[in-house]
Formats: sequence, structure tokens, C-alpha cells
Amino acid sequence: MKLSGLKLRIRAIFKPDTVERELDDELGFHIECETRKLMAAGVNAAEALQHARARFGSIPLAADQCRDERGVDFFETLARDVRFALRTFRRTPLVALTVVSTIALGLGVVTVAFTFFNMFFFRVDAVRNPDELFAVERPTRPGFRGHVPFTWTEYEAIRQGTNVFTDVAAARPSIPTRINGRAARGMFVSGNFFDMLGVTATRGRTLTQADNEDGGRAVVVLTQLGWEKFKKEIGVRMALGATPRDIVRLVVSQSMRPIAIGVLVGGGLAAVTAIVLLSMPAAGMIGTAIHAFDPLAYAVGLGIIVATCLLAAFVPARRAAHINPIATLRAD
Amino acid sequence: MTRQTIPDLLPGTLDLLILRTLQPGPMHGWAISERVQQISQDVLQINQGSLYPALHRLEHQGWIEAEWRVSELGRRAKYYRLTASGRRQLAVEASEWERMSAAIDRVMKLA
Repeated sequence: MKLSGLKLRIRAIFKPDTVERELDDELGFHIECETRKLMAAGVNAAEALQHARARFGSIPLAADQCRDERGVDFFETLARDVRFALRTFRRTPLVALTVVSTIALGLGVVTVAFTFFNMFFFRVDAVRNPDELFAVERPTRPGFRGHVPFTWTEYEAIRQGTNVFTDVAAARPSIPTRINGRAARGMFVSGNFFDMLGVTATRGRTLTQADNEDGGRAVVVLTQLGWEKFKKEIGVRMALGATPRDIVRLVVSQSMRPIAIGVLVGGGLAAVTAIVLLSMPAAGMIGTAIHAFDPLAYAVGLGIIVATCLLAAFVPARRAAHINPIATLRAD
Repeated sequence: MTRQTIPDLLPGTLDLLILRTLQPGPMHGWAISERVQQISQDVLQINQGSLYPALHRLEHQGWIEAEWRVSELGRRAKYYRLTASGRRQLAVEASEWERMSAAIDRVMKLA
């Protein structure tokens, strides 16, 4: 629609009386001109007016055709419909309330569902060949939703004994943990997890098979969100006058933090939540059961994290101490 | 003499005639119809009932602009004026018309 047409339409919608009067004036003026012309030619007034009208044809029809050109029928009909709907609502408020809340609820549910769908199905494209990924799970009973986690031995057996898959990695998601005293969720994964997914770290490294070694130090890969949180806090503390030494002490004393070995930026996993990916030195704990809930395993897993973090906390603490506060703050 | 009522003549010619008639300067509806009749030596007579819908359509297209002025009769009248895009449209339609009438001419003479 052209701008000029739009202006005229808006005018016709908001000043309908003026526009109607103008239309009457315009057509009336034409009849008057025609009448005068005939009168000038010697026809008497009454006859001239009659002739002028006859020549013009149906004035209401012409007026209607002019109104059609405005193209505001749609808006007029819409306004009428809305008024009618409001009247109906006033008459039956309970029904109206039910209808409105049903629609609102429906929209809300759809929005939430889509948000989750978007999160888990559309955002995994940072992973190499997502359509070639399969989850292997073992239901507690056929048709039930619960899962029995695989043991490390079983995982190894699946990994080495099958040639259906190019590679098999173990993962146990949704492990609650704390970073700097803040609740976060992590995930135990086997060392080949990142290699299998084809995800690389923006800084540092991801996990390797070597991290699977029994008794190896606990390592963590931060997602982008996890890293953003982490580096900001350190930057603020240093800006407040903390010396590198203070920071080391601070982090060590908090010491719930495993050593950060790498950061994933823009990875598909980053979108999910501030997930901390932990490699598991204690081999027996890892299962491939995805979405499995096993409180005992969680408890044992957490215990191991706490123990290993105490040992490992010194390195990130020292690294934190060397962060330039100004640069870090400016980066945010 | 037979009078030809527009737009029975050819579809689209009414728009062309209105745009062309407005080229020298602003005019109100009645004057446009008089002018066409006069220039065509009474051969073309605009169907007055369809003149105003056509004017309104052209106005919505942005090819002509309307302005209320006091007319020679001392009464307020709606004067139409060609816009810049109206002039461009006139050029397009005029050349189209020439092409068409030349083609018909050739067929009439040579077929």
C-alpha cells in the first residue's frame, strides 16, 4: 500500500464524518455545475436539476463506489466485530473469562513447550552430525521411564564390543554442584565425550582419554555461561583491591571448584544452562543412562568432586590471580 | 454524431484521460468531464457516475492529490492535481496507449 493511500485510509477510519461530508459536497458540487450549465443554455431550474441528475446516474451508487476505493471495509467490519464481541463478553462474563483464560493458558503451554523444544532439539547444531547421535539407555522395566545406569565395565563392553557405533561416550547429566558457592549443574562424561561430539574448546582444552585414568586429577570444562559467571566475579574482587595472593587464598578456601581446563564458547551445550562438565576419574560411577536419577550415584559423585576439588583448586586460583581486572571488567 | 461513453470504450482509458486532462493544472471533477468532452469535440463523454470512483482510486494510488478550494461558483470544490508519481504514470500509460493505437492502426490498414 502506498503512503498516500494509507494516509487517506487512516483519515477515513478516524474522521469518517468529515470524509462522508466531503464526498457529499463533491458529488453535490458536480450536480450544481451541471445544473448551472443547463440553465445557462436556457433550461428552467427544475428541469435542469432533473437532467443533471439523470446524466450523472445513481448518486448513491457512485458514492458507494467511491467508498469502496477507500478500502476501509476490512477495518469497519473488524471494528464492528470487536464491538460485538465486547458486548457479548459483558453479557456473559464467566464464559468470557473461561474463553480468555483457556486461550492464555494454551498459548503459555505452547510457548513453554516450544522453548524447551528449541533448547534441546534446535540448538544442538554445534555438535558434529547430530543426526548420527544415539542415546543408549536401559529401562528399569520394559515400557517404564526409569533407567538403570550402566557400570563402567558395561560401558567399556559396549564401546569395544559393538561395531555399530563409530564411538561410544558415557554421560551422566544433571549433577548438582557449586561454583564459588553458587548452585550449578554439571555432567559426568567420559574422556572421549567431546571428541565424539566434535566440540572443541575456545580456550584451553576439552577432555581427553587421559582424563579417564583412575586417580587422575578432576578436571572441568566450563560452558560459555559458566565461564562468564566465573571470570566476572574474579574481576570484581581484584578491582576492589584484592591482591593475587588474596584471590588464591579465596579460591582455595572456597575450594569447591575443580580445575578449569577449558571453556566452550558458543557450543551447543552452552545454550542449555550453566553446565559444568566433569570428567570422572573414579571409573565405576559412570553410566550411559541419560536422564537416569540415582540419588546414591549422585551422592557418591558429589563426594568425589568435593575431595578432588580440594586438591585441584590451587591451579585455577593461581590463574585467577593473574587476571587483569580492568581488562576483564571492560570486556563485560 | 454518436457519443462514446467512457469507460465503455476501452478498459483503462478513463484513468489515462483523467491524468492527461490534469496535466496542465488542478481541476475539479466536473471540469475534467467537461474538458474531455470539449477537447474530443463531443465524441468522448465521461460516464459521470464512474468519474468519481476513478478519481478516488487515483488519489489512493498517489497519482493525484486533492485540495479543497473555493470555486468560481463561490462554493467549496475538490480540486485534483497531478503528483510527481502521477506524471510518471501518465508517461507510462501514454506510451502504452500510443503503442496500442499504432498497433490497431497497422492491423486496420494492412491486414
